[in-house]
Amino acid sequence: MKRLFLLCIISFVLTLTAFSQQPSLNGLVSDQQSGEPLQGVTIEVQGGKDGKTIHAVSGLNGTFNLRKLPAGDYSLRVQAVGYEEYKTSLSLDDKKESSIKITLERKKNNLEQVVVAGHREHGNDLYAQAVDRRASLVQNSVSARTIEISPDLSVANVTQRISGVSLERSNNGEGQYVIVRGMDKRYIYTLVNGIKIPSPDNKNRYVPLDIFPADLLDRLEVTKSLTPDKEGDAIGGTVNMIMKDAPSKFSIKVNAAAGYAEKFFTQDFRSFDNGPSADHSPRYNNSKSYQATMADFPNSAFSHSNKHNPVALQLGASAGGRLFNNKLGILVAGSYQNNYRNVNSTFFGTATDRNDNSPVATSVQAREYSIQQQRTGLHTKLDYQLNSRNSLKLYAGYMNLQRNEWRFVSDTTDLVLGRTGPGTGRVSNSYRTMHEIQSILNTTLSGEHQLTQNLSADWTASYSKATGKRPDQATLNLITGVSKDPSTNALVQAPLSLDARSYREFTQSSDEDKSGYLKFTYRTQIGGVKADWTAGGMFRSKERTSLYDIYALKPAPGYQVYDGDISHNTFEVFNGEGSTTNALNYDAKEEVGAGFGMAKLTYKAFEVTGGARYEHTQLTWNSEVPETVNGKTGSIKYYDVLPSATIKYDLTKKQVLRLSYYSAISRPNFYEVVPHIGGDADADYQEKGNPNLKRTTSENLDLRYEYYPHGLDQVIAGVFYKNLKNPIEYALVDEGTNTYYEPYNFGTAKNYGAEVDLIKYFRWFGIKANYTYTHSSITSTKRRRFSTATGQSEEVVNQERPLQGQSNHIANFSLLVKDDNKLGLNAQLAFGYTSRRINTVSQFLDNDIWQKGFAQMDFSIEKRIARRWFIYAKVNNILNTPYQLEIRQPYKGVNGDTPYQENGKHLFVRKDTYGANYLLGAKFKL
Amino acid sequence: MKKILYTGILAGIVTLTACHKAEIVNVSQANISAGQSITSDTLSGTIKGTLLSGRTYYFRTNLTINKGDTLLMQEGAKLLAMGDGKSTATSPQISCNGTFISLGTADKHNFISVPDNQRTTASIGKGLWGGIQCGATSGDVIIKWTHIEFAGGPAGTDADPAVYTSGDPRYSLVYTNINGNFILEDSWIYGTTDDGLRVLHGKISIMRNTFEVNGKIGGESVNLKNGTVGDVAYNLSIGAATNGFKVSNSGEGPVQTNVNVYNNTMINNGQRQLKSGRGGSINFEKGAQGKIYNNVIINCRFGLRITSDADVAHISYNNQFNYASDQRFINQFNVSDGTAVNKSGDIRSSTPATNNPLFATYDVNQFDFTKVTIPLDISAMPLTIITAGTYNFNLLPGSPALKKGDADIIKPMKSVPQGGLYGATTQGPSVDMGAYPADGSGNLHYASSLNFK
Repeated sequence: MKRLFLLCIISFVLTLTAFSQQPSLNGLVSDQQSGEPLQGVTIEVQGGKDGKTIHAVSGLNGTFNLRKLPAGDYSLRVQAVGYEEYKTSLSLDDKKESSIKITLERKKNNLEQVVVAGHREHGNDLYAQAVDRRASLVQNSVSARTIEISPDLSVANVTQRISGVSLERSNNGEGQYVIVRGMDKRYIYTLVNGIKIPSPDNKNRYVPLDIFPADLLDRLEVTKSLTPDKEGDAIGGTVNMIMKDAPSKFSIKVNAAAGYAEKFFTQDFRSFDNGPSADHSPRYNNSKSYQATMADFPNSAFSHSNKHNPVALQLGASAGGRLFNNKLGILVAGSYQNNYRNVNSTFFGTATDRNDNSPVATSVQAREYSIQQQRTGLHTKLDYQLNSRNSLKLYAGYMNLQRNEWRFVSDTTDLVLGRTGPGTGRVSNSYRTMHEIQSILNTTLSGEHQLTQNLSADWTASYSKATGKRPDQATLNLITGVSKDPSTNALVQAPLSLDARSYREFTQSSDEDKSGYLKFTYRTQIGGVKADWTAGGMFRSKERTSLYDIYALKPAPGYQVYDGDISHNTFEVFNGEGSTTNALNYDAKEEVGAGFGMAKLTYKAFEVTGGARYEHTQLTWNSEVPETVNGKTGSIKYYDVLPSATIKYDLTKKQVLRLSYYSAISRPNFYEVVPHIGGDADADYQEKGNPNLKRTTSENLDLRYEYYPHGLDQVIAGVFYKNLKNPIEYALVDEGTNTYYEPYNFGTAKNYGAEVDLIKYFRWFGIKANYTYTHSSITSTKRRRFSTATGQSEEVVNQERPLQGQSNHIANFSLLVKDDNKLGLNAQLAFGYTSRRINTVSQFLDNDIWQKGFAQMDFSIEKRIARRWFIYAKVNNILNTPYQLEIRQPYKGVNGDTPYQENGKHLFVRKDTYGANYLLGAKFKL
Repeated sequence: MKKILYTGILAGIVTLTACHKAEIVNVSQANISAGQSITSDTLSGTIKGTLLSGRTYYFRTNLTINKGDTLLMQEGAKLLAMGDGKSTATSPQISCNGTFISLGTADKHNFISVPDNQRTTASIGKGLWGGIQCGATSGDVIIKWTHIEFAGGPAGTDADPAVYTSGDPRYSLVYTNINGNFILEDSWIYGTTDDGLRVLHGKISIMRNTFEVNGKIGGESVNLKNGTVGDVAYNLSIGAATNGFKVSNSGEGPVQTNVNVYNNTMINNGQRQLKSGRGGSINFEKGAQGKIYNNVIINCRFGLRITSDADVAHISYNNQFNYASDQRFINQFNVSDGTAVNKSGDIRSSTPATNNPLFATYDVNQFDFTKVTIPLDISAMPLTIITAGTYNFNLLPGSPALKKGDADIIKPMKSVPQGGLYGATTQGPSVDMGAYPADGSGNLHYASSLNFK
């Protein structure tokens, strides 16, 4: 039966205060059903002698405080979204301090049916936590409000606040992919509103998170286990971005901010003009037999100009509300970010000594990057409530990321060749300009239908297209050298001249997904057991096309001095036809069909969710390589049966125990399977595809204890274990005279660990902390070189090591200040630590390249300045945390003979610095 | 009731075990069409058989020799590429996965070149065709008294990815079978865009050949990589962009590169290499071992260079003849970034133009290097100093290089079959330095490749 009125229990506790002449009112707002304190609820008090209306907002622990109230009779009204209105009256007279307990009753729709209800404000922490608690999965969520007041601008940065999550950063220092519990990005899929969407990234199947502006999100969910109704390729987990829903009442939010990066105090930003460059390769624009000439390659891509003090810009706006008797909800939101970064990097080329297998530095490069990123996001969400039994939802989103990157590399010292002492040797310089456009379009139509009292159905049809383009990426190669004059010992600088070849590259890919999902749920009640029986299936057709052309330009005449103005130089095109037969010109198609059966049984404090999923995968490709090359076409077929089960046991109302098991897979990326060579200009090593790559399969166990003392406070502790078969890892492999970076299956790996997640709130102050320990091991064969009497030789040995990208220790710690009342102040100081992890697996014993452990600190603050106006500031990377790589073997050399290297210390491989970033902005909320 | 249901479900879940069906993988293999016998003068596709003596054959598109097949050129046969070098498609190559034999003789040379109208000095460095590209499972390659000219067009994906990336200029001959035999004797390699010859794995005997103007702005006459074992002697390398002979163990394989380089003559090498810190005569790099004796190095940018990452412990060298007319070259007789030093048997110019080797007809001082900035563009180097013209490189009586070689120090490895029509004639070192010992046993060429028809 519906209950239309509030139940309230009010109790007054009267005490005296020594230092207040006027009465004050304390209170606690909590949920009637769960007893949980409710934060952010507005309490309206009217009356007293002058009949004034006074407002208060409950704090993080659900309490509020109203001081200096004149004595008199008051009426008190509490309105919270999703709850019935609460009214009472009270009188304050001689009592100095009064207390009130307010319990709110939920509206009829509970959280599980929130999609149908569609009226609740989701974007707060409470909702996020409630979702986690109620989920049948092992799940952590971050709410929109947390995101808003956090220092994080992109979704990737948000995820790293979650326990067990670390980030893989792109070369501008921004997080791009998540690593969950030491599992590489390939093991974690990305969803938008629960739908898997394709990636504009040429190399990865899953979407890079830096393309999504954080302010379009309602909630971010990171799931660490699977139920049968979820797609099975989540060995590490899933990241689900729930986009904002239409709010229950009309609202507008606008924000604007300007930002500045620390680096620009001392450096200029390098920009280039991509306007004259063609959008597609000359071969694509003309015909297959077209012979490109220098007219196709404008000089602008080979030159750059300086820009002083570039200012970043961030704009966001959203408007939404409900129409037609609340039946139709509409939300439209847009976001635009334009930011500038300079990155400085030092990189050492390394090799393995043929006599004693020790790592040696062979060359050192200084790299400078200037990166401009423009992120645009537009999304709209419509939901229509046909009647109480049927609802429809339409989501359309468009994300666009444009990147202009200028890179200068100076290979200043070939440490073996041409070197006669410090400061001498070969020097090769290269300038590279890259204009990259990534975009994702996603349209999803879904419906929910209560067919009978016990039978419901929901379905989703989704179309997505992701495109990535890098037109006319230009690399200008220059050479010079410094030698020592043998008679005077003076250093002689050779003139800077054009190298034998410079390049123009065109990369283009598109990934198109068409998918459909259908699911039926039948609810039964057998005695004390509530059972939901779910069966369903999905089908997705994914089509990918990739186009690649590289044109080599050679100076004509061969020897030309470069004076900084490229218009003084002349080139001719070496291969005018482009790379028509390169394997990166391919079409690929992947069809995944799945069906599942799942039961969810609830009996007293137990909830058991289990079942199995069947997934069938078929991948085919056809590349443009000649028929005389292996792997021109290929097909790979397999199926998996993936059982899973979760037992949730409510120890008490506030304590939950979860035990889950699931089986999962991870499919190789197209880029890894298609037998190509090269194609990623950012790679430190040439990459190679491996058509014999197998998918990874894994069995996963998870045990988690959750304790929610009150409010948003929580204590979560858990352990996990994973057993992976055929994990895919990249290794450096020598073939012929080339070293390739190639994906391989590496036997069987184990990954286990433990995590703790703590949140404690006081009224206006909070602490969040989490820590994850992970241990993984895999044994693979390595080569060991040694010297013999007659020459040099090597042997094959086994080495055990952690999985690529797995850190033993990941810790996050945040301090929050939250005062929505008087000060209207929110602030957060976030600190994160990730311990060392393997970046690149070497083929030689003890020569793996590691990323050093690192600690990061970010800060944000938001202050209300007028009723609907706020100002905010965010500072990222306060500690100027560098990205550092090393080989954990001692450098053998003389101190000072090579920059950055120290005798006896680990061999230095790479260091990138990004500097701090500042953002200052204003916000308007209606 | 409910308990039964409950346990039933649980049991069901427990007994359901994960099942991962193995991949059914179907990856296309290289489509190999059967070798066709030669029936016409215009060749195309996959071929095998014999190119007849005295006949001229043409090819406009790639030719392939299948594994197990043989293409044999009889003496006096010509195989001419019809290409313009502007693209991969218009610079056809010979892909050899089988056996390739070219049996020219001192009287009847063979030609693997381009038609006469293109066969001029104007085609130097143009890379009019794609060279002879041998796969990792190719059979033996035996080339005698053959002219290989003007190769070097850009590589496509037809080319072995272990050797090229797309767009690289192709080398005129590449051999890559670690178990195979590669014999090159009494032949000419002329006017290439990059390396004249590259061996990545293989047993070799490279004897008495003439390498002229190899490499336009970079490139070696002979470039030997990982797993190359054998002898390189009595060759003349004139006007190579970088080294005459580069030996390295770069690349991976079970066999360490081990090459004897002796009695070769290098003239004006290394003057075009754009990159500084490269070699200019003989280089031993990256784990290579071998013996280096009795070589004559004339006006090369650098002397013998053994880098610190070579297998220095297993390299021996002595008795090189170094001559230079420019102090800069004298300064680099001991290359400043190398480990090689002056040895007891070495003969060197102490100041510019001293210790002239006294070639019969070649004037070592004809070009004044002291007046130019190095590197030189190819157009700045007269043909007379980068091709063999009609010079005679025999040593005149009184040459300081006579009788200064060490004839006993090296026992040739003779890693390839010896003697007969299909075997090598691998010679040991001579008591005279260079490729033209006084007894006439060395290099038998007295004219540039283009002087023969």
